[in-house]
Amino acid sequence: MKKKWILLAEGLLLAVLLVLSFGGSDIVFEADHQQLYRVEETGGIVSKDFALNPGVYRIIVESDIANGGIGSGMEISLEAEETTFRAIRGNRATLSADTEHKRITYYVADTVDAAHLQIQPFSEGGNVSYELKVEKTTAGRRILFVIVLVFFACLDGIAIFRRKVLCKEVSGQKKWINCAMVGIWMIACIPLLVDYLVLGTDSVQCLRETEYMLQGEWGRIPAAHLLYLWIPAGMRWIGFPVATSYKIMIAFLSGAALALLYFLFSKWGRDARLVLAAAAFGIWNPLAVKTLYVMGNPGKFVVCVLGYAVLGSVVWILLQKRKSQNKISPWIVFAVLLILVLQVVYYENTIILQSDVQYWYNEEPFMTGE
Amino acid sequence: MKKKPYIRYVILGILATLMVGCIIRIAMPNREWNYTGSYTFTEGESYAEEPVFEHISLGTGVYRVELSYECTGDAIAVCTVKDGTVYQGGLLCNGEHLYSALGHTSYDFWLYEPTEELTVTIDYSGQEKLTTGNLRIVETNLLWTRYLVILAAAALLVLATMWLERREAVKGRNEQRRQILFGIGVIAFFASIPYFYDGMVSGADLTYHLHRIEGVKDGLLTGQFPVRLEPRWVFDHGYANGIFYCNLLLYFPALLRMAGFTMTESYAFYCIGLNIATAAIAWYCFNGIFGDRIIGLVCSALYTLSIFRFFKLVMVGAVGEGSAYTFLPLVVYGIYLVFEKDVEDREFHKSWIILGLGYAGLIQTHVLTCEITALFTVLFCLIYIRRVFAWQRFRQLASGAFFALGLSLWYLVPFVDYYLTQDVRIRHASARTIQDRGTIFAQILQQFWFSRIPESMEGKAGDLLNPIGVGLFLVIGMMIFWLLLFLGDLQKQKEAEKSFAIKAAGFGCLALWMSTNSFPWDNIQKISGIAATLVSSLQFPNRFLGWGTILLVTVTGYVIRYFQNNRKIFYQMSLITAVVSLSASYLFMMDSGVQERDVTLYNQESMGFGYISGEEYLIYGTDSTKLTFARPEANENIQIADYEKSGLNISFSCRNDSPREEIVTLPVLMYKGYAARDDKGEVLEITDDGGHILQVCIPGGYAGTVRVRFVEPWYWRTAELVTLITVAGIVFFGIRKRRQR
Repeated sequence: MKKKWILLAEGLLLAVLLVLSFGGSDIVFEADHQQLYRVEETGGIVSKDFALNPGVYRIIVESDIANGGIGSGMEISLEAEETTFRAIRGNRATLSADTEHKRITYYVADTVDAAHLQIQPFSEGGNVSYELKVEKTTAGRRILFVIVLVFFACLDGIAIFRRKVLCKEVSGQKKWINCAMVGIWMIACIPLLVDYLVLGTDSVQCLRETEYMLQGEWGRIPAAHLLYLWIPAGMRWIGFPVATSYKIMIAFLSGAALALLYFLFSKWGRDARLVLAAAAFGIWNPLAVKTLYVMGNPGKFVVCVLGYAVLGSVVWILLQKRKSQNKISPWIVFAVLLILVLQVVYYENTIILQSDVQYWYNEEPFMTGE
Repeated sequence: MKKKPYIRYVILGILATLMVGCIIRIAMPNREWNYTGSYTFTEGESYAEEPVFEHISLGTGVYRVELSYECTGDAIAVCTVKDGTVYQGGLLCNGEHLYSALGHTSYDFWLYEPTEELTVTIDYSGQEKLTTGNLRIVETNLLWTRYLVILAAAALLVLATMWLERREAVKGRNEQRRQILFGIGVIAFFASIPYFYDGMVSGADLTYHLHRIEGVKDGLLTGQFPVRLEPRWVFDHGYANGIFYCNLLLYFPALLRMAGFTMTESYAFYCIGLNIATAAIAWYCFNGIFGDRIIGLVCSALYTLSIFRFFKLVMVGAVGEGSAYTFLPLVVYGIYLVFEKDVEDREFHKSWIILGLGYAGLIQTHVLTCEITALFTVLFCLIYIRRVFAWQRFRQLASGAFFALGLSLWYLVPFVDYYLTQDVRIRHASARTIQDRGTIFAQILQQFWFSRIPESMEGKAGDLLNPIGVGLFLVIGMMIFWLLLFLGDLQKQKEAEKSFAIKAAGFGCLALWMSTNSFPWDNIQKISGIAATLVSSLQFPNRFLGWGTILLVTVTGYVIRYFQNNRKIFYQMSLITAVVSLSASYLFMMDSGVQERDVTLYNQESMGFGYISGEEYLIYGTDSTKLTFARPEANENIQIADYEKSGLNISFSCRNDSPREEIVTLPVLMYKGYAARDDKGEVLEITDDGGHILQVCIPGGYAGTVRVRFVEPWYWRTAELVTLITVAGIVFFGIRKRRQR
């Protein structure tokens, strides 16, 4: 009975959040170029202050090209003199001279009493004619809905799993295999726990293709990449920041690869511990870690995992036929896993420390150049 | 095999003979060498290692160099001693900066090989005028006092082994004790390897703490006890660091410095001592919690060799925080005993002593760690709220608090007195935010060390991207605990350790979160002025990782104990994993440490006297950039003669030719406690010059000798007496209990 009430409460809360996420946008600030002020020290132009609440905001620039537009171009950002730590999260946008319409997304994580728009024109003088708007979008509410949904799903899933374990519906071994799988996946995702974006050599291409997908420019995306690009594109469509969407894709691919490998190898092998070690090797091996984080190439990672799955299955089948009677000592599995975990953690620690630190929230840094 | 006890007596005899030799040598008069000469440096031209006196012949010893000079600027040149003919390490000296107000150098150098080619050199920047004069080299007793200390320590070690052997002859051989001693020794040895090199890692806080050690030494040498104001710090102006930042444990390295050890050696011995103490205390506490000596040793290793402790003590040189971590296990054990032990248990009745000692240790090493500890103690009390109101447990808690207070009163009374009455800068720190200095989650799991942070990291991600977390092994230990608990494996475990481990795991997670930049420190800071001051004073959220480490070690210890009782193979595997994890992390740390080892300091003068970290204990408004070595200043109506300054004691003869009161400004920071009297016992008024420098008011027509002293108020002395009585009381109580048993 208690469980039903909890589920009902969860459902109600989710329904309310879902309804709220379909509301319209609110304009919180509006000004034209004549209502902006020049700051003598920096040469920049700022708007008057306005207050912001936590949520997702969009700066909209509308320019009248016939009367000078935005002049020779400019940089625009949302700033505040005093905020709590990273209350405003977004990247400055670069606008070229021929910009007529531009939308820049910013995330506000805490109340900001006095925010303002900051503009750095590329050149002084000349006619300009543009309007600026800051509107609070419904993306913030959508994000909240998704987070709450995932949170409830996890809690309910864990509760169900626990009940099954306590009722002995799940065997002791299966219980620990599941836990170990989660542990292996979490260790593989350690580089995602940094608060910046761990950029690989090909990550920018992946991020750009995600944006092309969102803008409907399908011709610029290789078809095979659609296999995984739908994840960050979906997250971006909901409203999540660039770095978060990218990290969720990596985490998802890691988890899916592990699940696939375990499922496949468990068909051939009887020793669950060995199967687990073999599956762990699939996502902990240096090549997999390199393709995922150092190269930032999810496509190559998928190919590596699939190749390993095929090769592993073949080797496994051959070994099963030859040594079907032999049982492997748990100490060997332990030693292999220990070595594996040490090497992967070492590699990940190196990646974290040697990666370029980028705080990317919107598409501006890689689409227009910050 | 039959033992030969007489060998030890022979060794003791040799040591005693050598010690007598040292004492005789100390009693003999010291020599000095005087050289005349002058060297004028051309202004605008820089000189490197320019010899001003050459071919000096000296035997083995520790000497003091007094080179007279005249210069018009401060820190424009460095005087040092060189000799290319002695072996590497045969001459230890860093030299001294030259200051216009000083007139001559006064620094020590260590010469371990006779030489005839010693050279006194000057590195001159080319700025301002500089002329050097005569040279005086004075032999000191420091070499012999140093040897005496080494011989005495060796003799004590021999005596200790003899005492242990005799004890075992009476009570029987105790294999377990031997194993434990060996284990603690191994842990302490591994933790101390970074100090066996001849240099130090140039941690951000290292120089500051070396100044603290030197401050205690200078204070003791100029007759201050206990040392409240470090007399030579801030260019001989006297800095109130000792009042705010207790230096109790630093008396040990300070005494070593007084005995003739170099700064690097004294610091290394202190840190080795800390490691031994940490390993032993951690073993004692975890053995007490889990009732198993092997798990006690594993937990001691996990704690003593933990990544965070290493980071703080070795890499940052945060001696205060590193020292405080020695006492954290005592507080955790004390809390465990108070709340989880049966009131009938013999261990329960000593919980107030453990708790009191732990808290007293924390207060007297690092107040910020104590602040964090108080927060966690309050959290534990809240979660055990019912037991707090059980009279016997409450009595233990209160007794522990009073015991800690009694032990710390000698430090707390001056601290509170100054904090309330002196407008020091630390009281104006509420605007500083700390959330941006928090760690990121990936750092908490960092297991390996890297010697260099890439350029792209600097200034970003809180520019603290070092392996400062608790390490992956402890986090995995905690996760296994939660899984065991959540999936019902611990249902049959009903013991006190389980209950405590649950709380430790919960608060451990909280501590980890509080150390990150995702904890809303900025919002907490906005709540009120008190919250802002408290949060701001923390400086770095990563300080919570100290508590995170100790709590996670407790939880991991519990998991290992569970495996020991229920799954032997996992127990063996977890022990192997602990060893491998610590070794892997340790090897990389060693590599990193070796690459960053670039500081070798021998004498205090080479550090300069100006570095005071964040200037926390200067009076608000003091312009530190104007502080340098200075002479007394007064207008033309005042005649000053025979000016002498020894630590905080100043004396000078003066005559005021005018009929009105005149002012003499002395190079002393104006803290509460200074008093001026003349030779007739008359009290002279002391004032502040507005920049918080001390001034003495000289009445019109006055002539006499003025003495300025730092005098501790009566209530400080009373507090010291209370602490002394508390120590005596606990010693008496301990002896009585032991005899009763």
